[in-house]
Amino acid sequence: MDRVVFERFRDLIYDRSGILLRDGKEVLVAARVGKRMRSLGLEHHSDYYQHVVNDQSGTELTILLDAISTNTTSFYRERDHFEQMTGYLTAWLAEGRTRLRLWCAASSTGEEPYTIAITVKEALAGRAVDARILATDINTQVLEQAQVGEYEPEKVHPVPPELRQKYFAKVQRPKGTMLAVGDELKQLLAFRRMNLAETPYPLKGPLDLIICRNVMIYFDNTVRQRFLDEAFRLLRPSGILMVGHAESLTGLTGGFKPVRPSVYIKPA
Amino acid sequence: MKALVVDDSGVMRRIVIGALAKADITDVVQAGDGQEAVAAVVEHDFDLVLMDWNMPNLKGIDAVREIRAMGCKMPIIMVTTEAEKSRVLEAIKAGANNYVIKPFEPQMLIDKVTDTLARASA
Repeated sequence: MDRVVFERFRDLIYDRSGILLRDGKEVLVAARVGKRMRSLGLEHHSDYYQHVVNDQSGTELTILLDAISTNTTSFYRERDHFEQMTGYLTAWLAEGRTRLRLWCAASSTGEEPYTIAITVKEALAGRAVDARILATDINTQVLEQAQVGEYEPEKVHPVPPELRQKYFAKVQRPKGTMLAVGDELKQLLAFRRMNLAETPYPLKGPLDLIICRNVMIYFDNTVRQRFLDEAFRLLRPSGILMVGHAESLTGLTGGFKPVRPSVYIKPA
Repeated sequence: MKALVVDDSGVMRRIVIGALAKADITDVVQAGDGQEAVAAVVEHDFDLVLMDWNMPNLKGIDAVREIRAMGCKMPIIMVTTEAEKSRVLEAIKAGANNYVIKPFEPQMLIDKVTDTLARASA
């Protein structure tokens, strides 16, 4: 891809999503938009750029962002976060809380939000509590997959066997046996498309916990700060923010206090 | 069946809610403007939304666009005084499924709701 064209795509993507494509990502962008260009019958990357900009409805931009955004995820990824989450949930329930609101800010194909749902369900242990998990992503395609909630058995392997038995059911599909997430987990979840670069977020709060892992690595400090300010606004006092293990809030201002690496609290 | 009723007039919300009750829809959440409506849609799973057009903060038509952009597919009925054909088309283009012009007879709203829900589940 032409350097000038790459820079135009980079600026557009940053402007509309906050995702920062660093130098050297030309090949990645060219590969990801190539398929879409072929289906549109476009030959040059600059033509595709014009096509995206000219589409007033924003649909083509969504398709572009779908193609660009990465979606690495798995059940129980960075497992210790879910052990800590269990600790917080148990403590909150012991305090007598009857309403729990959690937000998973990078749902991807659903592995993380369903892991959260299992964690919540297990912590509730049958208690009648008004619990909801919001799962958002900028990518509409992964959200649709997440809502279906069917996974190849090997993907579900990180889920402990007794929980797999409890929350998943085998279904036969043309591509083979799949494990489908049961309704009791789905009922806890709402999947919505949201762009973390566009503030204010359409949420009212107060939230008890926000988990936003391996997303901020794609943002520069301006967008990171925007996210942190919104997270701070939406969390209740003593609410928890979890970020990816490779991420840190060092150098960013805000009222969060570190509890341990990658876990922060909004002071009471 | 859970419905969201959006209007900046409390009187109008009550009229709409009254009509919905006649169609046995009693699980209703209210919002006073477009922003509140979008926040409510993030929080709850609705089967139906009834949306006014002219409201402070965020207009109904823009709220419809935001709701659709979030990936929500529930039927949305515009309930508004905006009666021009171009407005109706604009609303449909934004993602509304049906249209009721104020003022309306309660039975008229009930018919539109029933019709819209039937088409959505077809």
